[in-house]
Formats: sequence, structure tokens, C-alpha cells
Amino acid sequence: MAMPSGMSRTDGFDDAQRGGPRRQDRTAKASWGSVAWAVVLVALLVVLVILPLATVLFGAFWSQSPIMPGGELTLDNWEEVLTSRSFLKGVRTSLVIGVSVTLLCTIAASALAFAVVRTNLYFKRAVEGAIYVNLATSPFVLATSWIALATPHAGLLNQLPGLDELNISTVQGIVFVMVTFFVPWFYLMVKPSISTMDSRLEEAAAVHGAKPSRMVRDVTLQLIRPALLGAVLLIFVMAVDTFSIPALLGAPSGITVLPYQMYAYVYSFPAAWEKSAVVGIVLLVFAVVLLLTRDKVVGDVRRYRIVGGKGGAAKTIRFPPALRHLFSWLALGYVVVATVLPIVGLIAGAFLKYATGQGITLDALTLQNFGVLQNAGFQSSFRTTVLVMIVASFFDVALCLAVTILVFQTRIRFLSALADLLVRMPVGIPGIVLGAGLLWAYVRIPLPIYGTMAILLIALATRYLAQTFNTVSSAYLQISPELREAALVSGAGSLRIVRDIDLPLMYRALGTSLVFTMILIGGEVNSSVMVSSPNASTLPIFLFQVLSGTGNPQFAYVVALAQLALVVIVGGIAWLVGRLFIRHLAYGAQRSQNV
Amino acid sequence: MTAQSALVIDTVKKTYDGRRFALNGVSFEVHQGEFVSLLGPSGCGKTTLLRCIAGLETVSGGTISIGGRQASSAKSSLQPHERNVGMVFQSYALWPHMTVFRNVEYPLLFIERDGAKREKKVSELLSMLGLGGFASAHPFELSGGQQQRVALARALIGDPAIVLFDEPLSNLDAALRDSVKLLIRSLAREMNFTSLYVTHDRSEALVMSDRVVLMNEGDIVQIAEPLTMFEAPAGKFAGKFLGEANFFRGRILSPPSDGLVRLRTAEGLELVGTTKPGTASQNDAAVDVMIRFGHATPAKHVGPGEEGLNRFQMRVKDVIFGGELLQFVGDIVSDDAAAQPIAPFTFISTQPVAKVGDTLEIAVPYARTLVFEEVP
Ligand SMILES: Nc1ncnc2c1ncn2[C@@H]1O[C@H](COP(=O)(O)OP(=O)(O)OP(=O)(O)O)[C@@H](O)[C@H]1O
Ligand SMILES: [Mg+2]
Repeated sequence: MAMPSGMSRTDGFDDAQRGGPRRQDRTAKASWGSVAWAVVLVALLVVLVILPLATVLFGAFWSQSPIMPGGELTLDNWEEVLTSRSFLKGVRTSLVIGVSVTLLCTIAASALAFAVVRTNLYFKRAVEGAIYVNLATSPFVLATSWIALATPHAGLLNQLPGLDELNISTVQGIVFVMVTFFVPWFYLMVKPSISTMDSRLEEAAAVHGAKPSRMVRDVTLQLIRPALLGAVLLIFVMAVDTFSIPALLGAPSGITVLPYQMYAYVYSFPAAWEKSAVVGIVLLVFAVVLLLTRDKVVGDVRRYRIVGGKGGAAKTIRFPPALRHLFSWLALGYVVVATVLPIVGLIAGAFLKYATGQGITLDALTLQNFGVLQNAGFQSSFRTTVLVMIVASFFDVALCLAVTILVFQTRIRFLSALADLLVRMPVGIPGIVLGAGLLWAYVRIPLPIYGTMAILLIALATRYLAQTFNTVSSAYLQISPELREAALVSGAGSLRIVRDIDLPLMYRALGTSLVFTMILIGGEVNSSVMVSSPNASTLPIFLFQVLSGTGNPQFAYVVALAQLALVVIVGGIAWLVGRLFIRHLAYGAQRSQNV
Repeated sequence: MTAQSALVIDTVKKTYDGRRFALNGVSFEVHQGEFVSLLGPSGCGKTTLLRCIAGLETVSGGTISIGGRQASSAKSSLQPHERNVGMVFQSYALWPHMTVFRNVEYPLLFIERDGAKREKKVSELLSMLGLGGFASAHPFELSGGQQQRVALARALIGDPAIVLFDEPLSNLDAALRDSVKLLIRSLAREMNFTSLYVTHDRSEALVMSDRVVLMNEGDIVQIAEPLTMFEAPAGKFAGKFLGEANFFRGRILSPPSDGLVRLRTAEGLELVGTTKPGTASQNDAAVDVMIRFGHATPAKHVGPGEEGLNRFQMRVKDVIFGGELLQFVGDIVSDDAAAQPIAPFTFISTQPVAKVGDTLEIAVPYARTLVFEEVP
């Protein structure tokens, strides 16, 4: 799955093999119907993407919070925020966390990917499994389980003999949890380039006398450098933009990152939305600059594409037994720490009466915590979560399919390019900025959106548009255009072609994309935290309230388990549907798509 | 436009970017029931023209009429489904998620409402193409040749005014290609459908067609029946593209009479050759001379008193066995005792007429020594 590849674009334009996709005809004209349709799509995207951005931008230069009457354009907000000590401290914390997470992620994820793809490591399947489990685990669930495991004194790990100093509520703790959260993303971004690497190039270097270590440096690293750099930049941006984990673990002990400051400005008294907007713009500019750099770097990938690289799959590097064991156990250690422990921690936490510092005894076990399942707040947020997961993900996939067809099939050049840009923009918008922008936009728009589930839906549908577009459009580009042209010549109209040809051939990819988007949406925090309201909040936000409020923290573990269960259910249903319906529809598709 | 024209292409131009023309204004007709090939090197605009005819591209100038109805002009264009054409794609473009039956039935869905009639028609066509037993198979379960026939069936099912083929054999291996070539040809005769067949392979064009349209760089070079095009190409390009030949450059020594000219090649060889009628060749005009490999024979094989032959000595340097024919490669050498090599020369024969190192006299009829005005 190429989900996390963010802004990099996959257009079929360089795919000029015989009978393959042809370049677009620049002189052709478009029909009025398709122009109207394109205008509607672009307008929708503008509302989803540009409206919140514009609101934040405006808010940063306005003297009042948007809920207050009056106000004027001003630079005062900037002066106040940029010179405040808390802001400077926030910048430093954000950068320290961002840089450390990126660094450790790079090392861990590329080592794991390389080991899985290119070496004779044991436990490869366990490592891959753990990667996917972590990908599906929402950031709050992960952070919650580490609270269960490593709260000072009371944490489960601190009960073990010889350990009592673990404290997850530190910068190191935050970095650690974020690394386990981002490693899967990084892993999936670099793995394809490692597996398509042609070992003949390495052999050529070896034949010319390069030593193995040198070969890795001169050839192997050079080949995966664009993918690696692209991943590094994207993870850096994502780490700096993250509200969820630092807020849950760090805020109580005064460790505040910039996204948390945005949140705090709005939810403190008196609310200072305009200052929050300033922080938002800072985050936005940071993200955009880095992602544009990344686009440049990744744009060079073509130069590194291996010419005539047929066959020659990457050759396995065989470690001698001692090293092989060492590395295998290291990898397994990672799986245990990053994936198994958190789940164990959650389950254990859910069954304990209270956190003690006195070790765990049998009478500390209880089922009481599950009483939270009766809680009205829990139930309503559970319902809301299921609803937004379904509605927003179906909406996303449908919208991305429509935009894909607009971009790759119609002859409306300007609108296509615009839609293409807009749909890929959200990857560069920090989640909390998106949430804030929507909140402030709809607070003033007299529609029943602010404070309702509608705003939550809008935020969550916008949040992962870029990733969804990436998978949907690459699935679409897999279909040879001749299959469509054959239908066109046979007498089918455009809608009929989508129904008879495109959709049946894309079912499987669309399904995967749907499930992925659904799971991401179900665990989303960064945007939801801004737009949730007492009437409409999701499970992650309920969890946040439990942990940051006065309730019994043991409830949180049950809520987090419920969140995990949701992911398992979605995955299970998808698997069943895939087995029962999709398989026979898609069979053979791969073979002739590659003709 | 004649009544029996299935397709009329009139000065069709096409540019993709407004600057470079992929088609520079081409014109020709395809008659009802005729099999016409569009032959030319890669990038000459064959696919572009075919796609314009199918309505998959718009034209930038000129008109296309199909079955007597105007289908394309720079101003208006019928949609592909309004054109009544069938198309066989290079990749076959069979829909992998549909059975053979559904693939073939698909174009009928838009024409024939009665399901029973559709089924009858599809079944008939499938068995006619030897696919009767495969109706419920999926395309990927078929061999390349069978897939090819399904694609053909799908193109034919709607009784199109013309069937368009875009290099349909290029995905088949050599042996299969020959049999499918003949299959398409005999079907076209039997069912009397009209075909426009794009290929860059001269043997396909020569074997299958009633007429060949030869293209180069967006222009039509020559339109002729296969044999005519092979024996009397319009110029050096056509000569070269249609078959293997020896080429010389030379200058006219005496003006043509009865279509014959005397000339001297750049290497100093004196020959008599045939020019096309109407070719205005003055003395000293620069010309290209072409002698096909198959049109030169050892002089000892021609009757003794035979007239109208160019004769020269050749030394054989290599004999290449190419299956049914032997290819003799060597040099034309000077007549004197020194036997200096003058120019490379090759001929073919079914017999082992010479060995490596032999020097022998070669004879080429004046009528087979073709002289073209040199194109700068
Ligand atoms: N969509 C397009 N956009 C721009 N130029 C194009 C496009 N399609 C074709 N061309 C150009 O038009 C010219 C003719 O291309 P065309 O595909 O018709 O050639 P062809 O004769 O079919 O060649 P081949 O035998 O390789 O298939 C080429 O120079 C090609 O680069
Ligand atoms: Mg072509």
C-alpha cells in the first residue's frame, strides 16, 4: 500500500510504452457537462481546503477572536506571540521532539525495512505484522497504553523488580511513543524503493572491487536516497504537527509543543483565538516549506529509476549465524516493545481497580472499569465515531474517485490542475490548523454546522484527502486506457464506462483505501480536538477528556480497548467482504492490467 | 465521395500541441469490403490517424466520413459510439472482469434490446471464430491467439462500417502471427467486412491487403496494391521500406528514352535503369538507384542472347543461410585483372550458386534497376 507517500504524484505520463497510456491531447476541447461537473468538484474542494486555511490566515491578522464583534487588521498578535517566552519554549520543545523522533524513526524504520527485504532475518512476518498493527493503532490509544505501563511509580513496568524510574511524561517518553507511532509510516514509505532495488547494480560495484560496506554506501544508499529523504522530511513535518501524543503525555507536566499551544490559546480563559492563529500560521509555513522541498527531492526519483532493471530482484544478504541471531532478536525486541507491550498494558490496565505503587495482587483485579461502557458520553461518542468513520471515508473515496477521473480523464486542463493541487494540499496542513480553521469559519457561518456532527464530518473528510487520493488515483492509473477506449468505441458513455469498466476493476483497491481511511479517521485527534463539542465528539476525544479530567483514569484503558476493538471490527468486516464478494470480481484483473 | 466508399479521409491534419503536425493533410479512401493497410515506420502517425477515425482524437483540419456520413472535421466530431466502427486494440483491451461472452456482447447492449437475439448473434460469431467452447471463460484463461480472436469478435459484432486494427499481431509470437494473419485475411473475405489495418511490418501489409497506404512523417508516400508497391515503389523511401535492396547514388549520363536512362554511380559503375514516366531527369541530375536483392542473378543463369541486362563482376565475401534463401554478400569489383572492389553488393537465391571467395558475373535487367530522383 502506497498510502503514506503524501504529496508525491503518480501520473502515468512517463509511461510511454507501446499500447500504454498516451499523453493528453492539448488541443482537444471538453464538453459542457464535464466542465460543469469540474466546477462543482473544485468548488467543493475549495470549501473543504481553502476556507479553513483562509480563516486561519485572516484570524492571525485580526485583533479579535472571531466570536467577538468588531475588530481590525493588526500585527499585534504576531508581536505578542512571537516575543512571548512560552512560544519560544514551544518552538524549542517542538524542534527537539521533531528532530529526535525523525532521527530515531529513520534509523529504526530503515533498518527494519532493509532487514525484512534484503536479509535472512528470522521473524520477518512478526515484524511486518507489528508494523501494520501499529499503523492501525491510533495515537491516543498508544499514548494511553504507555500511561498504563510507565507512569511514575504506578505504571505496570515500574512494578517489575529493578524498575521504578520509568516516566513516560517526559520529553524522552514522548519521543519514544511517537517513534513507535511513526515507524510504520516511515517503513511503508521506504520499503518499496528497497524492494525494487536491483542488486545487479551492487554486483557491478562488487565486481569492480568495492568492499561490502563501501558498496552499501556508494550504491545502495544512493539508490534509495530520494525515498529516504522524502520520508525524513514528511515524518519531520508530521512529528512537529502532532498534537495528540505530546498533549496527552506532556501537557500535564508542562511540556508543551506548538500544536498544544494552539489548543491552549483557544481553550484557556480568556480565549485568544487570534494568537492561536498565529501559531497555526507558523506551523503551516513550516510544513509547506518542508513539503515543497520534499516534492523537489522526490521529483528527482525518476533520475534514479533503474534503467532496464528487468528481473534481478534485490539479492538477500546472508548474515552469519551469530549476527543473524543478534539482529533477529533485536527486531523481535522491537516488536515486543512497540506492539505487544502496549496491548498488554491496556488489557492489564482495564482489569485493575486502581494503579498502586505496591505491586499487583489478585484482589486488585476487577471488572468495574467496564462500567464506563454504560456511560452516556462514551456511548454517544462511540456512535459518533462509527458514523463519521463510515460517512467520511465513503465520501473521501467517492470524492477522490471523481477528482481522479477529472484529473486523468477529462480535457479540462486548468480545473484539473487546480483540483489535483487542492486534493493533495491537506497533507501539508497540520491537523490542528485544519480543525481551528474550520471551527472559526463555521462559527460565523449561520448554518447548523458549528457545534454539530457536521463540522466533525467536514474536518475528518478533509484530513486524509491526500492519502486517499494517492491510493485511489494510483489504482485508477493501473487500468490501461485501452480498456476504456474499447468500451467507448463499443458505444458506452462516460458514466457507463465508470460503472462497467473502472469500478469493477478498482473494487479491491477502493476497498483497501476505504478501510485505511476509515481506520485513520476513527483514531484522528489533531483536527477533531478543535471541532468536537459536547454534542458531537469522537472516541479519541472522549478518551482525552477522561484522562485530562477528573474521572477514574482506569476507565481510559477500557475506552482505548474499545477504540482498538473498533479497528479490529472494521478490519474483520473488510476481510470478510473481500473474501465473499470482491475476490471473484477482481480475479484475473492484475494479469491483463499489466499487458 | 463514391457510393461504395466505407471511409473517406480528406486532407486530415492533426497536431497535439498546436505546433508540430502528426498528420500533415492525408487523403485516401477505403471501399466497401476492401482490406487496406496503413504502413509506415514508428512515429509516422498511423495510430494517430486510426484514433482520429475512431473518434478517440479530434482532427485539426480536413474531414473524415464513415459510411457516407461526415464523422470528423475541425469544427465538429461525432462521439466514438456514434461512428459505427469496430476496433481491435494492440493490447486487445479485453475486459478482464467479464467473460468472453460478455466481452463480445457488450457493443450489442447499445444496439439490440432483445437479450435472446443478442445471445444468438454472439454465439454464432463465437463458433464461427472457433471460440464456441470458451463463452464462459475469462480472457486471462485464453491463449494469446484466442484473446486476439475474442477482440476481433467484439469489433465485428455490431456490424461496423469499418473495422480498425492497431498492430494487433505485435503481441503474438512469430509462428502464431503467420496463422492469425491468414485467419484475418480469410475472415475478411468470407464475411466481407471492410478493414483498415495499421502496421509497421511490411510483410503483414503485403500479405493481407488489397491496397497499402504507405506513410512517413505524417504524409502519405504512396497508395498502391501490394505487388505494385513492391515492384514499382514511388521513391527511395518506399523502395527501402517495402523490401531489402542495394542502393547507389549516381548521375544521369543521357536523357531518358523509352523510360530508360544511362547513369554512372558515384563509385564509377555504369548502369542502365528505368525511371518512372514523367520524371524530368536532365543530364547530370543526381539520382538514387535501387536493385532488390532478389532481382540480381548470376549471369550464367540467364539465357545467352538475352538483352537489356546490366552486367558486372562481383566477389562473394560471405554466404548467409537464412532458411529458404541464401544471401550472397560481397563487392562489385572492377572488370580488369586487379579486380578492385568498387561497391558492396548483395543478392539472394534459392540455390547455392557461389562460394565464399568466388568472383562471378551478375546480371540485372534494366527494368529492375530502378532510378529515382534524389530527394535532398
Ligand atoms: N498524445 C500525444 N501528444 C503529443 N504527441 C503525440 C501524442 N500521440 C502521438 N504523438 C506524436 O505524434 C506522432 C505520431 O504518433 P503515432 O502514435 O501516431 O505514431 P505511429 O505511427 O502509430 O507509431 P508506432 O508505430 O510507434 O505506433 C509522434 O511523433 C508522436 O510523438
Ligand atoms: Mg502506433
